[in-house]
Amino acid sequence: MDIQYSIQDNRINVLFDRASDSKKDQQLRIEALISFQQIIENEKHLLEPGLFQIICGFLKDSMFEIREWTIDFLEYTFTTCGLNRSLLKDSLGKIIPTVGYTVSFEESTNIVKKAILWNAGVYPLIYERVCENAYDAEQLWSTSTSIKSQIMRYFDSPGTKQGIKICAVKYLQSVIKVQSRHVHDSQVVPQNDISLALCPPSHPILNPLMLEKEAIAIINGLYNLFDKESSIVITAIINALGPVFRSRPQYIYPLIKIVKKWKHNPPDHLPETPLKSAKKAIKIQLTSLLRIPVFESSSFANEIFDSILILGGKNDPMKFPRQYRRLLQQKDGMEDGTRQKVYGAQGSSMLPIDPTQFALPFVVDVIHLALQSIPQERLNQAKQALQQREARLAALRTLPTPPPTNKQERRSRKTLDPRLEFVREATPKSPSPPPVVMTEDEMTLIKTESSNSTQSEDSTIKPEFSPPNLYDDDMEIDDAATVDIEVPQDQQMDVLETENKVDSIPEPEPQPLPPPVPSFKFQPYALPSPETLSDDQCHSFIRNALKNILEIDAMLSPDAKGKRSDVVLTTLSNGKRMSKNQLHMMASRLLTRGLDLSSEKSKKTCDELREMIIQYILEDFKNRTDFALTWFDEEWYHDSIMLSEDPSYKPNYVIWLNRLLDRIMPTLEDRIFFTQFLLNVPELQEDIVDRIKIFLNDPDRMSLGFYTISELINQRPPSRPFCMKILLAYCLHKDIRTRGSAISTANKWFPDHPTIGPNIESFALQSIKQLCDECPPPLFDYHYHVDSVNDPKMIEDENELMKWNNNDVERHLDLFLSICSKKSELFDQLLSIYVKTPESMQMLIRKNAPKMVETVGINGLLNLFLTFPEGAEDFVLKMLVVYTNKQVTPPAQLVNTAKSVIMERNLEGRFLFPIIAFFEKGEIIRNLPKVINTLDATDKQRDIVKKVFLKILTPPPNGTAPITPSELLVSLHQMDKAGISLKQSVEG
Amino acid sequence: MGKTFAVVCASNQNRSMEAHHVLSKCGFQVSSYGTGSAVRLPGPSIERPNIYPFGTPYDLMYQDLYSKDPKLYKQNGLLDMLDRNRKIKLAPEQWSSDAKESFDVIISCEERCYDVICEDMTERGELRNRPAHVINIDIKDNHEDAMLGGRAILQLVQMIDNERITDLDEEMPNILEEWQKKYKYDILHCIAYF
Repeated sequence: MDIQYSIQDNRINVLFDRASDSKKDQQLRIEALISFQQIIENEKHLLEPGLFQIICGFLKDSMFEIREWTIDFLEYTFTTCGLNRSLLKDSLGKIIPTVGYTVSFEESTNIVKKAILWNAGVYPLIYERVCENAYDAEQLWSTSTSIKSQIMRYFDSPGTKQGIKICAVKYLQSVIKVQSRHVHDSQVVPQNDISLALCPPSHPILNPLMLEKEAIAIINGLYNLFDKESSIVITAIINALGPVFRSRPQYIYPLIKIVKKWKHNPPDHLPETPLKSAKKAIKIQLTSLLRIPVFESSSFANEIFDSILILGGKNDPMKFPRQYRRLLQQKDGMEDGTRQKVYGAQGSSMLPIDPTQFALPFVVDVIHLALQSIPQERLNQAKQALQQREARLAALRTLPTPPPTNKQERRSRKTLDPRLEFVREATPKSPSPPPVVMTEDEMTLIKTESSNSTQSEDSTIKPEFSPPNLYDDDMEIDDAATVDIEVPQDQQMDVLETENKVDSIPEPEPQPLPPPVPSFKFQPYALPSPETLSDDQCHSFIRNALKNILEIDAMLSPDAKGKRSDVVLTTLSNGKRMSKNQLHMMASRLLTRGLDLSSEKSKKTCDELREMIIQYILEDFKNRTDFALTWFDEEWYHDSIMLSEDPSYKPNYVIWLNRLLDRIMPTLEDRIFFTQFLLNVPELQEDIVDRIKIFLNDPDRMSLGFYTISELINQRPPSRPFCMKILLAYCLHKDIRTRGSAISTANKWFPDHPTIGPNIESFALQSIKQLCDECPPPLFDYHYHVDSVNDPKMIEDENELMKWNNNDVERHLDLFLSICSKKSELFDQLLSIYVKTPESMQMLIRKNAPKMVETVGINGLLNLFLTFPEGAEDFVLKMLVVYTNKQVTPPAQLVNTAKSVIMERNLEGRFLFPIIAFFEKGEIIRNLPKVINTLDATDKQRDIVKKVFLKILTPPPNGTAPITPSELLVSLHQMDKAGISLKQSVEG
Repeated sequence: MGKTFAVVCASNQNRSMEAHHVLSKCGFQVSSYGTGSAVRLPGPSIERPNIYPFGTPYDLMYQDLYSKDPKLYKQNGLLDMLDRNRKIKLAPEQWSSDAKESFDVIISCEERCYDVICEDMTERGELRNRPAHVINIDIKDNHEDAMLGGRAILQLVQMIDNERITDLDEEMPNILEEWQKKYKYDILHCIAYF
């Protein structure tokens, strides 16, 4: 690269030399550029337009990395570096041509994307520069315009990648913002806003009208892309336009139109999830606009609100500002049919209530309440004022009324469109009002209207400019820009403005005549005395009232519950809201505090009503759990009050809770709702919890049972004792699967839980201590019996069959072994119990050696060898045998420990059986007499010794046997020297 | 250089921190944030949550809860969660005030957070001209779901930050489709700009 350096700094010269030398290693060149950037980061004053020009030369380098560094460096200097704005503007002319080349010809998508985004950042700067220097910036503006055209062409090219489109959207956002005018109700301060206002009226290069038209065409083009682009590009457009809406609210309306169009014709090219994402993006942007204080009073605010509702915003009312939440409730009410929708000429901005639809008794009540709150003095004053006014009006009525003017008539007839209101508001404050951006359909409609309109409409109002057709489907801005704007044939904007202005002329409102006031006398109002009802009528009314409440509750969709915790049913006449919870509360209180229970008949009615509620809850327990809980809370509270007043009172809570449980439990399968229900009822008693046994005994619903009991133990400490009692009893259950589930549930709390952990430990120790007893302890009653928790006969019957057997020992050991795996020191307790038990029991315990070995592991086994008490030798031997049988080669540490303990305690030869095969040759020969000594002429013992010999002679997988058969035979022949009798030697 | 990720939930405690934990363990460049106004942790009852301002160190929260009721908070898993969090970073960060840098991919764990992120990015003015993929994955706010969600996010991030993916903007729809075959989460996806 031939570089004409104008830089005086030698360091930069050297680095650029190195970076531009294509013969050098790629890494060295990159490092040179990185070093250069480090210098610039510390000494920003070194940057000047000439240097930028040299740097831009790297954009045409053959190496991708160098080109990428260059565009990154430009991004750094223009966006994050904080350089002087005038330096940046002066440098643009040197940079833009090369960046333009990159946008058009670069191969790497990544670099093109970065170049487009850099252009998005500098577009306002270019515009500012061209505005300020009208005569030396023509080249800059023309290059920038060609870049703009190139970027827009990307949307027409079928092979354009999504990433490039995303970046192009951001660039166009920048163009739209710059080429639009600032309006008074935007969120941006005019001083900081780079808009058309910056352009002098007679600028030789820039034509504000043309630029604005181009911006409108671009935004329409972007909206048209909604019908063909992917959701990625659509969401990019929506989110890119977010800041534009804040500074240029005139562009919001077309988006609202699209939403309304989507209500009936959603884009069919998008699958479900991308369409959802696109709608969501629009909803977020529109909702955020509603929260902007400047837009609160804007006429398009209600349109935005309606659009959000179309997009499903109704389901999330908390997102709306307060006034819209109120409006939403009113709309909800109307949709429910409780109010008639009466949209007048003012559209959705008017309060949607028709007072004529109110029921007469309600109106009378309201008037009565209002009058009660007004002091008599004020009423008298008001009465006098009314009488005076009536007299005055009567005098006026005698005069002739002038006919309304044409304008007044037209205005009163015309339906006010909120869009037009917006334009009217903007008009007086803006010298030339911003055009309302319209969609293509709308323009066609207006064209038709304009052709029908007469010149006599209002010939004094002149359009300020007459734009060409800017609403093409595609992004052919070049075409739009070349249309001769002086030709007045296309009058769309013209017509629009004319119509707007006709509407916008402020006219005095005619003074409406007040309605004639009837003269009547104010008299004190007295309610008639209440009608007396018979008991039967009362009870029938109550039954019907409850039935009605339940019917209303049933009609509410269960789906609504998930979305909002408390559904508002209606607004009462006193202005308070009636929610679903309150409905439940009302029904519950009617049963408890609402009825007089003095007579037997009343009590019977009350029970009937409770039965009615039980039936209602049972129909759909899952969705009516809330109702059930509200009811039981109320019953429990009422019981506690009644008991404090009268100790002989029979509480209802337990009776009815038990009745409900008895009916739902046989069929219930939904774990979450049942458990949650038991966790939330106000009080649990042993009898109630005892019902969980039904689940625990059912193999299909056992997990639900254990889950429930575990949650109750965890979250309801008062009911923990009796829940623990059940759980621990199931840890000794005969069925291995049930027992296993109970043990794993209990194990959760061991050893960490400070209260439950010790409880489990003491129960496990107690259960192994019971092994010392002659008979197993009586079995826990695992059955649930209605009204007879402890049926002694049943327990006795089962216990007659009970004698210690292997299964009993196993179930008493399981929980203990399970906690031993977490706390190994407990294992010593088993040994101390083992030595106290009779021989038969010891045998049964030893049968569980495989489980124990698994529990204690090698460390426990070593510890056992070193510490076992006298009398536990067989136990230890069994453990050793099990372990060595399981392992191909036991660890040397175990063999050595066993060897030394056998020596120390002088243990019998049978202790050598499991480990002798792992001794060395000399040791085997030395210990062989001990083995032979165990032979007692029985077949069983002979078999054992035979197996030991086989083990000694079998070579391990990766080695040779420690002793050969011939050596063994020789050793056996020399036994007599070791004091072994000849008989035993021969047997050996 | 790999992609930069942000994971966002309401309080920057459970879901986002679980994802932060698994992603940073696998070497991804990840930050995590919360979108709430304050950090809310369950208390002894639903009406009495523990509320801390963003920026309160996790360690301080741990000590505070430990001094209040060690049994309760050990049992409901809060102490373990805070213990994990304090090993990852100093304190919970708030999206709107602490997320100063740009990210390539932002993953929110709740629709509410997704709304806040999109809205906040617009409010910032999109001055940096940097597009980002914002993805919402609805994860319930409990320990189990957070763990499962963390794994699902890890899988997604592994699919995104893969050497085979040369143009993420092009591939993202396919990646999400592929990912959704394995994980049945409801997702939202959009492009927003820093």
